[in-house]
Order: sequence, then structure tokens, then C-alpha cells
Amino acid sequence: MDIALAIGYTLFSLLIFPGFITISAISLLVEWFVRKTVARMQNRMGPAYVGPIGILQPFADFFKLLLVKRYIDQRYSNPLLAVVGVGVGIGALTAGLLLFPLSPIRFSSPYDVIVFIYLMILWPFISLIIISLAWPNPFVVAGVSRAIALAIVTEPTLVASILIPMTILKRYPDITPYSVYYTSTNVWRLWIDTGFGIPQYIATLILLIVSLITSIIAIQSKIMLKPFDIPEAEQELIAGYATEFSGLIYAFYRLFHDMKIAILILAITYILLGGPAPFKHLSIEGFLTLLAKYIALAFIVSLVRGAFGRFRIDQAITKIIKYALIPSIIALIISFIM
Amino acid sequence: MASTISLNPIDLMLISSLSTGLVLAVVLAIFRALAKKEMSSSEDAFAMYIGGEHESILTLKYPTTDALYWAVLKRVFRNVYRYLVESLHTGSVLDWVKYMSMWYGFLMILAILIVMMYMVMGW
Repeated sequence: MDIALAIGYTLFSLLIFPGFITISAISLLVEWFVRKTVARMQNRMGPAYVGPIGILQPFADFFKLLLVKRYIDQRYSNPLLAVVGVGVGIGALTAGLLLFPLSPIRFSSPYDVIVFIYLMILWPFISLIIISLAWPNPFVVAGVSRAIALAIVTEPTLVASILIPMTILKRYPDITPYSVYYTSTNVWRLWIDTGFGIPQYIATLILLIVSLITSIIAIQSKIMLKPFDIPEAEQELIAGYATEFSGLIYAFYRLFHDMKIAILILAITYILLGGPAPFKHLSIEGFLTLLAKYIALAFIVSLVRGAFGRFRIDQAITKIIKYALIPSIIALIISFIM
Repeated sequence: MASTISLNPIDLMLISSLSTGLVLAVVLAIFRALAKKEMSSSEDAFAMYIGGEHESILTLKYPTTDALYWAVLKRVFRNVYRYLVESLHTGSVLDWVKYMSMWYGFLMILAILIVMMYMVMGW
């Protein structure tokens, strides 16, 4: 491909589709979906006034914070550092989309899962710490320390769950190893291929299901939705690490938080469920399949959020170790041996 | 027209870092263009929010981040810690030898298994 054309495509993918503009819109729609679903579960209306069935409410909130509200400075705050933190987080998440088949131009290399972990797991977490500590406050410090304690068990769980299908896919010699793109386009073979014998097929299915469940628990904890929202517990920590944000900085922080939800669900939809597989992207069936898988995962995340109360920090860590970290590591070891 | 570009991992790392930097520049540009700061003459507007308390309350003792972090981890790993302490520090040398030989035995079995796997499967 011509270098100028490649750069043009990359910029288009990064800034327009599926990059900054599109993923921002998708993130706000996902926020609406989660809020509305949880509200219906709790016999509330949820967002209702802006747009049909309140679908534009998160957009209205975002643009009001962005354009109308002013941010309140504080004696110890550093707004520029906060914006750099949130910008790096949003940038890393958006750049990570270039590894997925959804993007018009996608980059791949052997073992590019390391880049995926760097962009989608490591940087968002570091940027969360940067944003929080740019506006210091005792509630913020307590919230961040809880977020770090949770991350110690959450991040290895998410990495192990994502590595499981990639490790199993090594049985096909024609696939580039540990590549996000090739895993996304080939993982559907694991769900249906009985060519390696029925016992092997059943073991693969069990491993994939364990990986799916543990990754959903890890996502729930990483995006700090109930029951793992203790780092931003309203009743005791005001809003945890988000206590001091206001105006435009709060708008970007909310966008960053919604992006984490939207992109991590998208990543699981592709890496574990194969995206639009068994159809192609540019077909109506493919688009509908992708949408159905995405909405199903977003619904499960909302369901868990609506069904549980908040865990204490030690309960949260113990539960993640017991129900997500240990199963995912055992499944990863088995997938290496298989 | 979709296309997939295969790169070596270092180029991919560079491109993804540049892409991150580009989006960061866009976010910074939006901040520069739109940021409106609250100007206030009152000192209260610049104080941090501590549940309505005055800042002097922070001179009272409150747990450091390290203390919070280790308290949480200690509470979670208390069972493991207690198990280790109770099986190692009983005061009897025999208990210690039993414990250590158990773990060395486990590691030995693991090593033998790995060597066997290496010989059979040629990893």
C-alpha cells in the first residue's frame, strides 16, 4: 500500500472510525444502555427526557460539562496534568482499536497481545492514577489506594483470560501467534471445530467458557461497576478518586470511564467471541451478529451491576482471587499443556 | 477498502505510541480551546473538599496510602500468612524440616515433569 494512503487510512481509523469520534459516541450510547437497563431492573425510569427514550442524555451531560460548566481549581491541583492523564488514557484506548478487525486499517505482528496489554490494560490504569493525583484530596488518596489494591488481582485476571484463546489457537500452525487480529478472525474455529477429537473439543469449550466468565468479572472490576465500585464508593468516600473533578475535566473523565466500558466489552466480543463471525464485517448478518454479541455482553455487565450490592475492598479482592484469578490461571496452564 | 498491515513488534509499538500521542494532542487542543476556569475571590473556592471540614483537620493522624494498601493486602492474605507462620515457626526443627522438604519435594516433582515433557514433546 502507498505510504501516503496508509497514513491517511491510519488517521481516519484513529480519529473518525472506529477512532476518537465514533468510539466516543459508542461509549456514550453504552453508558445510556447500562444506566437504562440497571434503572429498569431497579424499577426506576433511568434517562428519559433527552432524545427518544432518553438515548441522548449522556451526550447532553457530556456537552453541558464540556461547553457550559466551568472547572473549579483548587490550591493543590494541576489541571494540565489531569488533562494529560485523561488524554493518554483515551489515546491509548483509541490506539488499541487499530489492532482489531473493526478498523479499516489494522496493524498486526506476532505477539502483539503485549501491545494490547500495554495500551488497553496498563495505560488506562496509570492514567487513572495520574488524573486522580493531579487533584489531591484525602478521599482521592483512599480511592486510589483501593483502586491499586483491586488492580493487583484484576489486571492479571484480564491478561490470563485474554491469553487463553490465543494459547489454544497455537494448535493451528497457519495463524500468527498471540496476535489480536488473527485471534479475533479465527477464534470462532475453536467454538465449532471438532477436528481434534471430541474430548479435546469439550476441553476447549470449557476453557473458553471459563475465560469468558473470568474476563467479565475482571472487566466489571476494572471499570469499577458494582459490586467492585468500592474505590469510588459514594457514601463513605464521596466519589473516591473523582471527588474533585468538575467542568471539562469531569466531562473527559466520564468519557474515559465510558470508553473503558465500551472498548473492553468490544475487546472481549472480538477476542473471545470472534466479532461478526461466522459472517463477514461488511454484511448485514455480520453487523447484526456483532451487535447482538456486543449488546449481550453489555447486558450481562449491567445485570451484574444491578444484581449485586457493593463488596468491601477485602471481600472484593478475595472474590476476584477465588472466582476469577485462580480459575483463569488454571485454565491458562491447561491451555498451555493441551 | 480494508487492509491488514503486518509489522514487526517494535514498529507496531512505535506506531501505537505515536497514535496515542496524536489523540492526546487532540484532547489537549480541545482543553485549550474550551477550558473555562472558575474565578473566585473567596478562599473557600480554592480549598480542597474534605466533607465540609477545614484543611487543618489533615494535621490529625490519618492513614497513609502505604498503610491503607498493606492493611488491605494483609487482611486478604491473612490466612496464607497465618498458615506460613504457624507451620514454620512452631519452635520445633522437625516441623521446619518437614515443611521445607515438602516444598522441595513438590518443586522436584515439578522439575522432573517439565524435563519429561521436554524430552517427550521436544519443547
